[in-house]
Amino acid sequence: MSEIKKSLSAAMLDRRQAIVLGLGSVGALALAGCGGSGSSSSSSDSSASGSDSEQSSYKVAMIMSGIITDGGWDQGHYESLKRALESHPKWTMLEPKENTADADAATAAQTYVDQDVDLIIGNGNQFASDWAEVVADAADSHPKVHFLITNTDPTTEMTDYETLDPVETVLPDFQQTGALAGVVAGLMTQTKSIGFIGGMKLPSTITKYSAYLAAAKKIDPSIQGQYNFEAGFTDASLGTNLTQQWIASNNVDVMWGDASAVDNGARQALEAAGADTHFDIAQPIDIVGADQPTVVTSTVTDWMIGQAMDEIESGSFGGGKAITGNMDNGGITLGKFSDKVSQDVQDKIKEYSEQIKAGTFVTDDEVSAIQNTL
Amino acid sequence: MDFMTALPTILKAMTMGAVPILLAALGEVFSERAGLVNIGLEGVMAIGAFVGFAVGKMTGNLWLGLVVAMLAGVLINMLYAFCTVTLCADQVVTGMAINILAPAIALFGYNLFVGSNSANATGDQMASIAIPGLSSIPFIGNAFFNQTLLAYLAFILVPLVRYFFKHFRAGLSFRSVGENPHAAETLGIDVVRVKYLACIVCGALAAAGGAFLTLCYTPIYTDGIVMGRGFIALATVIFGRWSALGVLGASLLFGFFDGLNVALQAQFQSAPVMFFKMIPYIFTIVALIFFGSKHAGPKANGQPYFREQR
Repeated sequence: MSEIKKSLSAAMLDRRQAIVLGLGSVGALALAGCGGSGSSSSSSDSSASGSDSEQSSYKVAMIMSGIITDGGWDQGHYESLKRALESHPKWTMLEPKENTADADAATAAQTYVDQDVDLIIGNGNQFASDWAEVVADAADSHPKVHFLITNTDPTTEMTDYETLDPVETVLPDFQQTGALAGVVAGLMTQTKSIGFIGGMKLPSTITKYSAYLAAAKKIDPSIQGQYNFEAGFTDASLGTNLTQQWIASNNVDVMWGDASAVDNGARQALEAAGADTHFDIAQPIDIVGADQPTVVTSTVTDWMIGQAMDEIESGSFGGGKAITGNMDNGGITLGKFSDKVSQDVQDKIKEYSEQIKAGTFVTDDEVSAIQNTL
Repeated sequence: MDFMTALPTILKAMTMGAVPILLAALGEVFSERAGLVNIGLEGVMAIGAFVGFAVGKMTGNLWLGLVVAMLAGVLINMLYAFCTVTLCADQVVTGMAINILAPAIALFGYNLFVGSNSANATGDQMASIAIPGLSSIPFIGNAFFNQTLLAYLAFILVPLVRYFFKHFRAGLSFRSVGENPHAAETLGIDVVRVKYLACIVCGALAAAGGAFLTLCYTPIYTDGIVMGRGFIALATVIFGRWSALGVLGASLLFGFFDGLNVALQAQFQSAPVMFFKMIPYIFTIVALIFFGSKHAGPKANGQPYFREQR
């Protein structure tokens, strides 16, 4: 009898376990889905898009690897899109898709294709490899849909595409970005020791650091650089510990970061070491302010979405072109300066910036020489 | 690398890195002593990290942030308790469900809280309190005696937990429930009540460990901020032989290897960083190989309790 009870009990448990598991999984999936759109629904941009879509001529949507409030890469893209929308009143934005995993990237793009969105933006080169099929299908079935993929070199990263007719990419001038940060670092460092944290060892990351150090060395050849290219983008405590270690062992007093949340951790360490003597250069959005006591300026990247919108309106978009963002077209700028940057230093930065813009401050050879040592 | 120059920073990273693991692991000691293997620590820590961050930012009171975070941890862990104690569902499966559900709730909350208001993205942090005299001791002073109050409390908790399990009747009840719940029941111990209590303590402490990350370590919340610390806390419980002192030692050892990993990354820049990043996890695996015997630990650990079963 007790055996029968045990068997029955076991059977009951299986059902319960199944219910528990099912409810848990559904709940988690639902929340993860809601989480992705929660922030967007609260923004005025997206809430307007639904009601205005009939009146507007064009629709734009962005598919993102992270969230729009990450203080780095994704927020930079989102702010670029908002700037483009301000100067393009015919365009309305659909809900950005945040936290999009590689496995979901094609499905996310297809959702927008099905809605005949005029411009679908992917904020990173991972989307180039994810979208080859979606682009090929959309080129036939939805000829008005266009794709813009940032941080991607079409000549090397889109070789498997059947057609590049509806696609363009954006490539910032990483050498200019790095050189701008390097000039600021070179002029602000007192210890002649500067640091850099990158999230992932990409060619763009290496170019940025090489130009950063090359420009700083132009200011003072004795300046030494510390770097880490594989800090990831989420572990802020790693940024803190790494920067503390460099401050203690290498006397680093200026940092420049390319690793989103990890940069926040670096700023914590700089602040703990003394915000009057330890400085940070932020990227890719302008965050100078009282709540960021160590940040002296920011290298700001605009992802040239406005130019893509212009091209779509004029019918010249596509063909796999790469839009270059640089200091000439406003793709790369320096943000505001904090009051820790003296007027004298600001004047010098302005003078050197003109030389960077003209391509005379650091040469390709000087950058390559550093690149070859990494 | 000049090791002696790097050592104070390594030790500081060790103590900072050990605290969240220690808090979560102490919670897990309560849970496992009562026979519940809660592998959902990672998820509970994520909830604690977010709620501590958000409430601390909203109210400007970081201690209130900590308390609400602990309550949120208890709440999410009650889900685990209901499934595993009342429904007798598989503990591992339920823990994994918590690990998927809880970070999703935290991210959902974060998106609601921060939204397009980036001013909410950076929170406040507890100040460190340097103990006069002790904090000036070479090498170890800054690491051990210049901490936030929450870190000091975490370390003070260790002897208290040890004393509880050794000398309190309630502590003995926990241990007997983990060893043989049927025998405990015959002695008049309410096994289900003890298991629920264990889940309350575990949820509160694990969430406090998560809250430490956003209230004391860095003033931001990011998806994935816990970075596997919940799973490492599980390993430290095994390595620490289910005792509070053992868990403290294991947490510090893990913290040391983590600090060493960062120091090596900082100084050997051209070496493959991933190699150094593996160090703490290799340590964890080695610890589990040598100390993860299934014959160790509470005998009824991980087993569902059926009151009617003979």
